[in-house]
Amino acid sequence: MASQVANWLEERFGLADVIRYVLFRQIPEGVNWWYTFGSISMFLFTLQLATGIMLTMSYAPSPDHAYDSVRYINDVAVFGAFIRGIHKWAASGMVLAVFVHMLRVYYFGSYKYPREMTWVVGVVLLLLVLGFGFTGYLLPWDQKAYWATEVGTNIAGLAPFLGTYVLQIMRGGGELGAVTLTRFYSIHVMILPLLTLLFITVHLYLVVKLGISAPPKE
Amino acid sequence: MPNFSSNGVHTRRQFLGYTVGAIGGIITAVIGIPVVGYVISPVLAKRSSEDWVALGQLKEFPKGVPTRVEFSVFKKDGWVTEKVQRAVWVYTDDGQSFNVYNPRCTHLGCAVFLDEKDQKLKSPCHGGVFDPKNGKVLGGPPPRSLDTLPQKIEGGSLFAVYKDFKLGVSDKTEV
Repeated sequence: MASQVANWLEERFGLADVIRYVLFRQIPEGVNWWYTFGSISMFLFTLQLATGIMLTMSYAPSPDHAYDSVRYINDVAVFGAFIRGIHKWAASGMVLAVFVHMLRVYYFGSYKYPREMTWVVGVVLLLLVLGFGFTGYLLPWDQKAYWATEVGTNIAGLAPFLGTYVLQIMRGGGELGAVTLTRFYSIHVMILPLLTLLFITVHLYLVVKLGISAPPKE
Repeated sequence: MPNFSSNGVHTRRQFLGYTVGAIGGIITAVIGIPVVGYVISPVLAKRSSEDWVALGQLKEFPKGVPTRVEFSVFKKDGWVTEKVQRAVWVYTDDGQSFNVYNPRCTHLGCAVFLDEKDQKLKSPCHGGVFDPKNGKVLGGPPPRSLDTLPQKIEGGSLFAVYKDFKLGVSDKTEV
């Protein structure tokens, strides 16, 4: 019965070849655990998507309610502390994982021809991950969040020529406040996830298309 | 791909291709320009200057010790008018001439606090240290002294106007 359904679907979707091509690729001899950090990053990203969407169900991005809604998630909501805990720790883990991934690619020389664009797209993904960290840090709206964003946006304000404008665009005005919080929230839950999904797709397309590189021979 | 003719004559297919491209471009501009304007509009936001605030009677300020004076102002922030907590530091040696400081560390804007042990104003963020007497930098990364605020004495009371200044640079420019 199950196989009949599978066959019926396969006749229409024709996915078997695609799946075989994507998942059962030939890989070079000698690949090791260092090669897993890309997958680890993507696993953590999926975790962040799942837990992050759950968090938006109870989070209110307004100065009056942000802190209390996070307290509510942590103290009252069933499994709230667990879900938020995962989101928080996986966030730090993701920054670590993408850096280890980048260093592996660098030290193994995997960025070389023909994988230059995989590297470039990867750098974009690295910046997106750091953007997630910066914008997500403000959302609990506690003292640490507030002052870290005060300092972070002031650093951006020191950029030559355009600094002052960058600062105002980031904050949505002169001072850090309600508009800053909604801006950061929108960037954190809408703009960055969509861009990240897009760039992960391109990154994985290139990985599958070009295959992974062999470890360097000493 | 449009069928490019080699003799320099535009084919109908090419003409249609350009037309579709142009219409797409117009649609993109009609949507895109307002979107970009919406996002970057805060650059046009003018900061309204604040009023004189009474900080207290002259004789209330202890001599030789900086005093933190808090007050609140109502500020429009997006869709809310919020009560914003402000603070300034006041220092006097003789009870006659006063220094009123903006509480922000000139490095990256953290609020300074008074370290009771050595009577210095310090920033909790990156270790900036200021002399409460004159606001001068005694240590850490701040590029300039604490910013003094406009002040006046009227009827035995000290008044000041709260202002913010561009942070992280050696010149004091109001924002």
